[in-house]
Amino acid sequence: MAVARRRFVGLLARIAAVLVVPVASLAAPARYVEAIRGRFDRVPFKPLRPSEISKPGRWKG
Amino acid sequence: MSVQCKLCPKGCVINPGESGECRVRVNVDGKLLAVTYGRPCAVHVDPVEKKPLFHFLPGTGILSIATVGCNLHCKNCQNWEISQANPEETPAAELLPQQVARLAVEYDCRSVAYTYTEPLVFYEYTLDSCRCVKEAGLRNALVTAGYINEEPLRRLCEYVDAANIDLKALSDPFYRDICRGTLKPVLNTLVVAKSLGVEVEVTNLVIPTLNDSDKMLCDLCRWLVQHLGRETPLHFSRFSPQFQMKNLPPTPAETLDRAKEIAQSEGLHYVYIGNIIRPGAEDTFCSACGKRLVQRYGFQVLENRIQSGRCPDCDTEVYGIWQ
Repeated sequence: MAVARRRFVGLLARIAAVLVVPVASLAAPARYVEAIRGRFDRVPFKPLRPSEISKPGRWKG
Repeated sequence: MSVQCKLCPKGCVINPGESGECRVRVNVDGKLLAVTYGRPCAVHVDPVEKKPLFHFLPGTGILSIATVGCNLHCKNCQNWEISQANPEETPAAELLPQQVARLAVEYDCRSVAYTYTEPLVFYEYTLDSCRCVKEAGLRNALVTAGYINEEPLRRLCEYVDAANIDLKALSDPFYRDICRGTLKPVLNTLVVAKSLGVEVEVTNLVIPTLNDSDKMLCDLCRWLVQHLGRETPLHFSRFSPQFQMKNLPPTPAETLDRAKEIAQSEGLHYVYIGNIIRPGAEDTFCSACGKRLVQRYGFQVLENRIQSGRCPDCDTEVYGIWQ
């Protein structure tokens, strides 16, 4: 009986150890006022064409 | 590790690999990354009247840049194809802040506008570009919905000369239902920007049945008079069915005329009607003697009689940046 209880308590401790980091990080996110001035490699690249720049944009504003 | 973005009132808590509501501020390995930095999806030379900015260097060209993304999600958005787009799916040019300033000089522009989408969500790019543009001796203008926290706003306003800020309605339910935002931060942005010396113009898109009642228009104008002053230019803009709001008709011209009458009766000096051709509706008149100072048609300035920021007939000062 005592062995079973020790195993059960050990299992609970292992589960708690696994969960503590993600739960703690959810509870207290890092806070940023500004983002890092980084760029995203996945943004598709489009060359700037002078003929397009010189014309007013199709977008409002 | 999750991160919390403190740029705007949404305060998104962002898990690794995900973005905030604006789509462009991404948690990459526990660090918040502005992924559209130096990657505008639109770069054009517009007439400054197109912003619309009517009291800011009239008749000049303004280099206008935008990246994708917006922290609001207005059902009637006119630029939804880029404002509600994902950065990884939208082609973008490479244009670093120093190049923005050089390009403006090259294209004979006296100012740069951060516009089309929401320049406050690509904040770091806007801020760095503003600094470079100032160093080049040019001016900066924002065209924005004004949904930002006060601390970053104050830092940005050091470099901003003019702003056209949307006030979509003086109604919190309107902001919640139509834009998925709230009213209070926008009002704060208007007051703070003006108090920091930014030349503030306000745009109100008049949407049939949603914000076109006499009371709503009257409340909005009264707030502007009380908190920003009578000299604040107000642009009533015509709605056209777009995006998720194709069920409503375009704003009738008579509604815009009524809005203008209400604004003038509340004491606003400079009231304009836009997105529609109405003769005289885009002209600037002296608030004292009533003489026409600037005559416009569409985005063209046909005549500008303002001299050193004053009416040539009665010498009354005209609010704005004129040279």
